[in-house]
Amino acid sequence: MLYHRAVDPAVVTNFQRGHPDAVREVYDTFGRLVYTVANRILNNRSLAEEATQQTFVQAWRGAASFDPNRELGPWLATIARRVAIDIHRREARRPTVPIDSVSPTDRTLVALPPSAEQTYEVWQVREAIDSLPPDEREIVRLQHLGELTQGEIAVKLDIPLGTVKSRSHRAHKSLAIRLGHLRAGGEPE
Amino acid sequence: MDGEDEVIDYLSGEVTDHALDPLLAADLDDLNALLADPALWDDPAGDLRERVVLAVEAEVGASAAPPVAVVATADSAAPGRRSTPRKKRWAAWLGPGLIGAAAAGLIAFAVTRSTDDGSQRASDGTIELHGTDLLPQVSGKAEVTSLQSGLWIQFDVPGMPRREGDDFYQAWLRSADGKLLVPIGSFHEGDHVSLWAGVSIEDFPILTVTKETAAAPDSPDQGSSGEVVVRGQYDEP
Repeated sequence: MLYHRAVDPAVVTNFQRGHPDAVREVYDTFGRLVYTVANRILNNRSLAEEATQQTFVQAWRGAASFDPNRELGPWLATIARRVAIDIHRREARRPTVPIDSVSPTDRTLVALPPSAEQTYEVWQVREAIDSLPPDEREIVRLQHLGELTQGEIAVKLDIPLGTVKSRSHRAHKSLAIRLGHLRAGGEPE
Repeated sequence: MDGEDEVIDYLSGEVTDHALDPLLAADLDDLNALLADPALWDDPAGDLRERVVLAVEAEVGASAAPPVAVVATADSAAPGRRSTPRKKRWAAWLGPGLIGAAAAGLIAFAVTRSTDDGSQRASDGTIELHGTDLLPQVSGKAEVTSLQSGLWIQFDVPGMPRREGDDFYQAWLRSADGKLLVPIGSFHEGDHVSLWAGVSIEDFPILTVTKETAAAPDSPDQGSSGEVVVRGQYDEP
């Protein structure tokens, strides 16, 4: 099982017709993932939101060619990647700051756009993060994004260290299982 | 799993010394790098959902026979071209979804489609826009479209110097008597900006853009700075 989010084929059919409620349902299911893919490429919230909007518009334009029985997620991820790359190229043609003032580690300066594989890896990881219970998600966020130790997290959240350890273990076990198929030789659970 | 607890401990950063297979450790490092990326944790603005709905709605309304874009092409959906065995396993995993997407793109064909009610939603009109003394060299237009959910204003004034960081442009609709002001969106630069308003263009026909700087919620600097850089007025067709 690949844990892909999915919507009912009837919703896809209504999306093809441009029904607002179907667009909302598709957005509710995939919007955050589309945004994450775009944000990963563009590293800019405003542009990522623009890319998300364009992705859904382009998806509607192309929806007539889409088989409602196929998975919508990978298709949207592909569109999101291309839209974000187009926006990235557009923005790259408009340098607004002297090159000397750009950090050498600025992603827009040093990174190539992610491949389709990397794009879908981002999609999968975000999906796995979102699947965690809020208390476990917060622990993982503080560990990885906040770079805090478990002891520091216990102090920050004012909870026992043992609780942090158990939540962290559960959360990372869940991530390892859900994302095991991303690893070398890993098979989907 | 290669020592489940060991994998979990490695993933959570709780071990520095391990006996994991180097390839597995490298994959877990990749995963850890993603988990540390702010982009993976960021959420879009809450109103993006309705902006998406409105954008699709506008697209549906604006085109009785929309072009069917080939949105998934071979280059974007050919993960199996990677050379290492490790990535070939990736390809096997990706197969059904993205290969399907490629097929969908390659066999795309033009169709004719109408809106649900068979109608076409056209622009209500265009506002000619000009730079003020603060930005005299720019000009452009804004296309105004009334949708059920609100007023969609496609603003396009090329050449406005980019403002970013705490600085930005703010667009407004002003009532004809000048007494009422409605914010309709902020942006970095004036090329192809979508603005939205919850008032009628007939009642609020004056479009202005001001230079603004972010301020605290209770700051007296909230509201228009008064530094209008672009102005135009809607005239009923």
